[in-house]
Amino acid sequence: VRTSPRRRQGWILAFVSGVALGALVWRPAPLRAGSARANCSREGALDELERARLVQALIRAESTAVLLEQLAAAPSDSEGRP
Amino acid sequence: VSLRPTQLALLGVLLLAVSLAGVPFFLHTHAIPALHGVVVDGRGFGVSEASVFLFSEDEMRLVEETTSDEDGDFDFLLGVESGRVLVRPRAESGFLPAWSPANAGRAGRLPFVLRPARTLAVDVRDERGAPVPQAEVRVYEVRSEPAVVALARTDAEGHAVLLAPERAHVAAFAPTGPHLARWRFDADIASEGARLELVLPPARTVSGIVRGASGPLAGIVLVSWEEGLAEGWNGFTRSDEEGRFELPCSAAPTLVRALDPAGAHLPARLRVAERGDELVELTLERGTPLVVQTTRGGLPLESLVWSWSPQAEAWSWGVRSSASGRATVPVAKRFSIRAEPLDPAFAPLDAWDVAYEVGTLRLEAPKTP
Repeated sequence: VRTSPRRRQGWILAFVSGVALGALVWRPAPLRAGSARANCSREGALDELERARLVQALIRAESTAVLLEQLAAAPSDSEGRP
Repeated sequence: VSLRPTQLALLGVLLLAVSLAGVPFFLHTHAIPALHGVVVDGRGFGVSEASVFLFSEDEMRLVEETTSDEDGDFDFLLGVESGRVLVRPRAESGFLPAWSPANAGRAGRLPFVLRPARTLAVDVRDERGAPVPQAEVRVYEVRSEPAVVALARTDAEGHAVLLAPERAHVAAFAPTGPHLARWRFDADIASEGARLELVLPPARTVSGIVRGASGPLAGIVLVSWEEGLAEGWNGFTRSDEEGRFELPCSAAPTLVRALDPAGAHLPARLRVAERGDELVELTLERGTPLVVQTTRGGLPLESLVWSWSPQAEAWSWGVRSSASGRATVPVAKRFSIRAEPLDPAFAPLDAWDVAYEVGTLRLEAPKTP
């Protein structure tokens, strides 16, 4: 069965429009949260998060310590470097 | 040339797509503008003659140095992709140095508000009470993105004097390897000054290797913390190309945590006993990537997102969400999520004990913060 060029273009138009419309209106479905009775202690996990957050932030700050050490080793222009 | 209605419609759809992609997409350039900014005190007055340093964090080097003018303004000639700026006021000004946030290279104009400096005296001793000379002492300012604002080495008496903000994290590092640390978190520094003593216990080295399903893993962050001691963070390191690492530990039992900053693997935890466990092996399971989207009223809300792995009883490396409010974290079959909005006006969002399903986990903040 041969499809006329006009009908083929019509299908392409419908497909492109459908994809564009789908991309505009699609929203991800939320996952379902379980009961409050988790297989871990929520309080314990939140205590652990305090530590995890602090450690990560201080690890990120390591570069500032290294750069300050570099500055201390090589005095800046304002401190009389020739 | 005459076009048929369907061809015209196709052309219309194409033009619409190009319009939606936006002109900036096609005209976007990667030129980095030169940085400039202003240094002021707490009352908004310009701070002059402060040294301002521009660093490249990728290359860990100083790129350019300048000085603030009488109004506190400064200009650099250059811009840097992963730039970070340090303002160091004159010693007699009574202000603390200040760091810009990381990746400030594209920020354009950077404002710095200097805080008054207080005096902190630190004594570093060993467990027998003897002074520890040449120990490195660091003062970190307490904020969401902490930075080191003062560094010093202890003298022969184990004593060092540094400038500090009113609240600081203070650390002392052993002068010889393994460079074990002891901390005082959230220390309050009175306006007339404060004195702290930090005790460095004897250190040992724990060596090991981190593996994944396909072999050794590089770039894994390993954290060593003395069990049961709130301020007993011994230190951290990263695994090398062969997955190997060396960590400082005290003689007491220690928890070693392994975290993947790349977000591909679940965290792992290992207890190192008192002695004889100095060679350890950690195996990280590959996590399933989960997209977490934080929103408020349907609009993106930028956050820091962590996933809790119940098997390891450990949190993942925290991931900052993109401008669209999406972050990808590794999860197991069951997991919990915690998202903390960057805007402190919003309360943290979480989902506990979730079973994994394909899709995006959406966390919506309450309408009124």
